[in-house]
Amino acid sequence: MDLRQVAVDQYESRESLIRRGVWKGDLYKTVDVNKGSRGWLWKTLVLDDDQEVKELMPVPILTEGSEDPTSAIVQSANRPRDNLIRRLTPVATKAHPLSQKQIGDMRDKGELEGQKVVEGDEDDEDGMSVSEKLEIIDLDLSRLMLDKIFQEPLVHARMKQIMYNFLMRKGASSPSSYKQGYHEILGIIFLQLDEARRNNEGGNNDNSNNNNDDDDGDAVMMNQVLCIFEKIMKQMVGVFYNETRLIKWDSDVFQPILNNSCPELYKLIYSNQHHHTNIIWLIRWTRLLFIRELPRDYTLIIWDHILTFTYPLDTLIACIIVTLLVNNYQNLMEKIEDHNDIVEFMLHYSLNSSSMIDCVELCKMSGNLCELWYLQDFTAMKLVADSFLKIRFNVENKTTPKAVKIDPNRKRLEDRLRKRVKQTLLTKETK
Amino acid sequence: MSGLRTVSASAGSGKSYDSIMKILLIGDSGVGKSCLLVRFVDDKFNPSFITTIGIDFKIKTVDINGKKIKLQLWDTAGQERFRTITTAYYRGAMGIILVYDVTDERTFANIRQWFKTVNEHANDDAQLLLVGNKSDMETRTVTLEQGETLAKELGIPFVESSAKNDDNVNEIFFTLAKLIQEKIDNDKLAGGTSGKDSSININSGGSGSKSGCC
Repeated sequence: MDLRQVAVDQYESRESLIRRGVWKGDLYKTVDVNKGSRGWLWKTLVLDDDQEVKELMPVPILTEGSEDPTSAIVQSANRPRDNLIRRLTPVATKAHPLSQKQIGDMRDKGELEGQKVVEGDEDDEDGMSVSEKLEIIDLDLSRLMLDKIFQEPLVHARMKQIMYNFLMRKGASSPSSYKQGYHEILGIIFLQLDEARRNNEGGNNDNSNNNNDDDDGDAVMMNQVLCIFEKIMKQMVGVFYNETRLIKWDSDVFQPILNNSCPELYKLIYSNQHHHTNIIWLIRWTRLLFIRELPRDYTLIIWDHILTFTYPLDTLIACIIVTLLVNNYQNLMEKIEDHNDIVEFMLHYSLNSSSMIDCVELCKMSGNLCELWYLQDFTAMKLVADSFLKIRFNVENKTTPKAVKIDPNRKRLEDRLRKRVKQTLLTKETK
Repeated sequence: MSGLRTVSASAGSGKSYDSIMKILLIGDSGVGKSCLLVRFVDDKFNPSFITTIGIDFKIKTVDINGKKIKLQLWDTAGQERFRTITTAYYRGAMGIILVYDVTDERTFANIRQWFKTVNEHANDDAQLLLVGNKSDMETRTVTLEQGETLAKELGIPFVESSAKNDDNVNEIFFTLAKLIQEKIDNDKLAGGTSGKDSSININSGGSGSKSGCC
């Protein structure tokens, strides 16, 4: 069935589509969202009806010594990319290493020990010139393997132009910092909207030969991609793409949610951990929003939920990861002996994970945890995880506190949550 | 904590190895670190290898003198210059491979920057190796002699390699493993660290050739 038709017939508003269609999962029961209609869904979820179409700035071609993008020659999206790329560490050595003082002499004199290594950026300034940023974007886009369309020169040029515009808008007068990973997030969005557009063209033969319409359509699509990308990155860049804030998110959000939901897993993963060991795997999990860890169709359903912006992204991502960990409770408990094992398990999650919860149920449970986290109802968070473990793995949690006198309202809420988790899991199992 | 150690698997733990060596690959983005890893571990090559985001790693267990040594090979995104996480990444590294691209002089120039990072964060015992990758390319801008000279100045061994043609890839990892093992053995003789399973025979499992290595 056509997603648009279903949406129009069954959901009276965007809020209804979000609540019933996405979070309740009704949409996935009636429509195959993966067949080219996800682009429409994302546009509907994210873009405003009166979305203004702004003309994207062309990408400058910078000659040596000219780093001002406003005065540079420009490169249109239709021009094939250069293949002259490479390097790309934020702060480069200025001089040739062989022309420098002998390293051995320096070491003998203890000079190396005293030298401070210039580290990369933490905020928006990374010390890279515009041309260096464009170079690394070129390099990353040339290695974007999400789909074969990204090897097409025109698609490459469009992606580069969108990314350039994103960095320019974010950085006011000069492009802001680019981090590897941005390109994959952008790639996923581009892919969905491009697929929707191609499908639309396929069913719209009257206009398919009209070049002007095509150009307009391209401009609109690129604008829409940029807009969705900006909205999602607004919540991601400041938390997940900044090392200091990622560490703070780990300690202030992720760890407490994990600890309150499943203390046994928290203990396994965080006790006696060396400094920031878990950040090693959390970097990729958070920066790419599960693209590398989970199957594509599965990941895209998670993205549908993310793009409803029902919960702040930093909390929702933490809760999704916690749910995925709880879903691998037995596996983790049996396989993990030290922190190397944890990093290995999590960086190769797709190979190591032995059970996959239904994606909509994963999002529902994560949403529940989000709500309880905001209510600071830690008992209920634990109850959600315990009920899940009991039903799914028959794991009886011995650390559940003995019955104490509980507020009747809280008890009702807990009972309702328990019932909801049980129902959703049983429904899934009987399918 | 010593950066140089072997970690024996506990008896009855069911682990399929006797000891572990943690090896890091560092260098600029696009020099071929992941390609070297994939060639060594999976014996595959793809000219457009996916960008590493943050940190990744692969495992290769090599059978050496009847003992299984688990090589834990850590790969970083070339763009990343971690601050706080660096300590976690470099901790316990027994070997570090500094990689540049022989077709890009800038990646060669940046080796010195990477070397400083290593000096600052890695354990003194960590064994280093300089690698000039993409030696199959005709568009070379860094000569073999330049690589050798830099390696000499840094006081570390050097090898040129091609992940594409599978030239010297095994040698990189086995040379480093040998250096690590020698260090363990020397420390043991000196009554130093608690390395247990020595006697890595690097000729086993690899070609044993050291061509291109100085």
